[in-house]
Amino acid sequence: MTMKKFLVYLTWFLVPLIIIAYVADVFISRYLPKQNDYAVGEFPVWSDLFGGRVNSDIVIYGNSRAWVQFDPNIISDSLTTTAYNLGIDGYGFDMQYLRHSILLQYNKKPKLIIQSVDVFTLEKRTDLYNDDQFLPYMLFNKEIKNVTQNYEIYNHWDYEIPLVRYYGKNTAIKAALRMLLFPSNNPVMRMNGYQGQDKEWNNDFDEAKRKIGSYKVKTDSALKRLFEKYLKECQRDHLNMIFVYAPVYIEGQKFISNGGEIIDQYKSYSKKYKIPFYDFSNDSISFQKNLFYNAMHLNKKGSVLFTNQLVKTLKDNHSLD
Amino acid sequence: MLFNTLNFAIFLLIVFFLYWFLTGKKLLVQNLILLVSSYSFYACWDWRFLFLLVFSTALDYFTGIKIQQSPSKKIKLAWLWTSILINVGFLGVFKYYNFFVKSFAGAIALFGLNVNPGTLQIILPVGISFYTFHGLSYIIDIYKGEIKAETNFVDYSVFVCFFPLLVAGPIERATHLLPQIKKPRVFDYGKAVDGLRQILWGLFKKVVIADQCANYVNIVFNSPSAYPGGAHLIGAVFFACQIYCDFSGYSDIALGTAKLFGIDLLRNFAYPFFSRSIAEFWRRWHISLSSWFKDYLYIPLGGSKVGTWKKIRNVFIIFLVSGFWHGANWTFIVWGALNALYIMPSILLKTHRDNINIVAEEKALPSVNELGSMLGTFGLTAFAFIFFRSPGIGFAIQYISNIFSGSWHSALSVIKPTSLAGLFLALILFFVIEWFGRKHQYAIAEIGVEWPKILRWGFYYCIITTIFVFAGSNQNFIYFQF
Repeated sequence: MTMKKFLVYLTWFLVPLIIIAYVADVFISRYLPKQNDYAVGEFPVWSDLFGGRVNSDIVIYGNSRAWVQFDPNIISDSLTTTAYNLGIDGYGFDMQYLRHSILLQYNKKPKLIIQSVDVFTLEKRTDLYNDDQFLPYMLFNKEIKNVTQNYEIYNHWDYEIPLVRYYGKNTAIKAALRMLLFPSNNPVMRMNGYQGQDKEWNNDFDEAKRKIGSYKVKTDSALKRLFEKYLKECQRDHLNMIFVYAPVYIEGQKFISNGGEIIDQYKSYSKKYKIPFYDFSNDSISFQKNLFYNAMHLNKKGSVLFTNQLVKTLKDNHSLD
Repeated sequence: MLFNTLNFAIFLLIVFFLYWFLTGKKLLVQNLILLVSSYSFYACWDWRFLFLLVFSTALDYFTGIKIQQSPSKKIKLAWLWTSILINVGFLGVFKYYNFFVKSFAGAIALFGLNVNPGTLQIILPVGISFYTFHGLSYIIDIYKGEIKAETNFVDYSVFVCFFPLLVAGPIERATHLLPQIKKPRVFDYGKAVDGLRQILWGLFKKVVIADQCANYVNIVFNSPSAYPGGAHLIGAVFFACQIYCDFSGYSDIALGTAKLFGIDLLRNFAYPFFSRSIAEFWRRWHISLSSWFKDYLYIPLGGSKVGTWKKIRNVFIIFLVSGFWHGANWTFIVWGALNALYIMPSILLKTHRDNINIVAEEKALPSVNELGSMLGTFGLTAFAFIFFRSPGIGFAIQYISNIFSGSWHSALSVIKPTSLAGLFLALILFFVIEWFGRKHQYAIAEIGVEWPKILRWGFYYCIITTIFVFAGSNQNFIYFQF
């Protein structure tokens, strides 16, 4: 009898909690993605992807070098078409492929994929960088689960039970509340995924060079396999693609001890899958320090210059035809 | 599997249902379920050390029987020492080997000889200090004739491995726990509800207070040179609060969990920060360990019923050993020595048995004298805890000297002033609740019991919401490393 009473009371006690948890999840997941400057500004891109609002003829894939260097607005204005930058900060190709899969699931097929490739594209991260960016979208989402679950940040329950993933994420909860209470205080960070960086050269590179001298990139065999799978899928689905190796400051190129080998790898992919490869690593931009804010990233001025040059290349090569 | 995770909640739910619905109140089945679930719980930490746990259990089970069966005192003593040496040997290898090797190499280096200390990459088995002490108290009690050896291996194993106490205590006594394990448990509604309430309060202490304090403490202790003066002082105060809420929070969860299975565990904390003297503090802090050392070390050495010098020796021995029990580092030994020094005057003046009752027992507020004594005691313990938290003695000394240097406003530079103010507010609220609940085993035991259900549940929902919102990333319990 007492056990029955215990279970009845426990159930009555838990029912409101479960309802509150579900409502709270819906609330946080609705308001959090509206915060443009949270999670390195990735929310607008994820929301556009899942909401079917990318729908562009040209899409740009890549990591932070795509995100801050390829201005889709210049591309769309110059080529009188639509363009969207899906570059994701801090990740190699596994996360780029996730965005590609979601794009095809929720948006129209692009006419051209500009695949930004660089020394870090095929390097695997050991941590789930900027993990908050997945929060509003990961519940019951198998694609996100498959890519993120091995990093030991989120466990099985985070993907399957409402609200659990927000446990301990008080900055995310506060951000959602902020959006509810002060929705106007929300500066736009990205324009169609792109975010130019109005920054001067900083000391990050000099510091890294002083500390470790040089860096050898370890490409990941699983990522290479995934990359080839992706190339084959694009071929099968008649998705046009070009590889672009964006400018990297020349000292930064020297800092990577096996940069040449990696570029050769992309050349071989280009040849094997008949994908045009536009290599800007030796372009004059790569020699102008004032166009970069660190060795790997162009500043806004540099990105505008580079995007214009890329547009010219696309036009010259009739890439959209 | 940490107590403050969803994995543990689900594990607990499954074991709870198996325990009460599959056993048909049969003792053997109840104990088997507890044993299997305890081993599964332990295996979640590191399954390899399960063998060590089973071996240690079997060793004490076997030697306990041998001690009881042996006809002569000599043979009993031989079996006792066999068990002690093997148990302490395991502890020595896993916990102290590297410390001794490094200390030996360091001592030799003082004489100009350089030896390469052959340290090993040893992983400390979770809970080894706790279950080893369980076993030791059991066989010593048998040797002393205070209990009879347990002949049922399952029952004895549950005594050693019962999952709520397996990884960080309380350090149980056979006289207290074994009789409960030997009787079939009947579900008790009041006890189960009390257990859930205690788990809730334990989680609040751990997640809201300890983990939030840890955010500040970690910043200051990880880069002390960056934060002068006041930041260090607040860091020391917050660490005292952190370790109390972390460990007593864990203990509350352990005690509450055990209650769900109809088992009472020994109380581990009794509001130590409301102590008026160091002697009182040590009667209220980590009670199961303090009483273990008192019963199995201090009293056999003669306790306080010996001459002055031996009394001083005995006090130092138990505090140094207690410090060393916590970890293989000189900082723990200094922490123990400091506490020995603190308590010494009261031992010598025979005032250590003062303040047995609860402070301001029949009053709402303490007197000025009582408040002063409590603050003084807290200050001394917080000072000693600096050594507990520091990676080395040099670091601790530097930390202490930093307290007296630089700006006292610098505390504001560690975290946002609003967060600091919020943390202070949370601590004040917490200690107010603790103060008004100090007569009970845990602070919220009686809060709202007379209220209408809607208000009482509202209070619990508020605690749950606060836990959810304030949960941080510092999920590990400090005492799991011991």
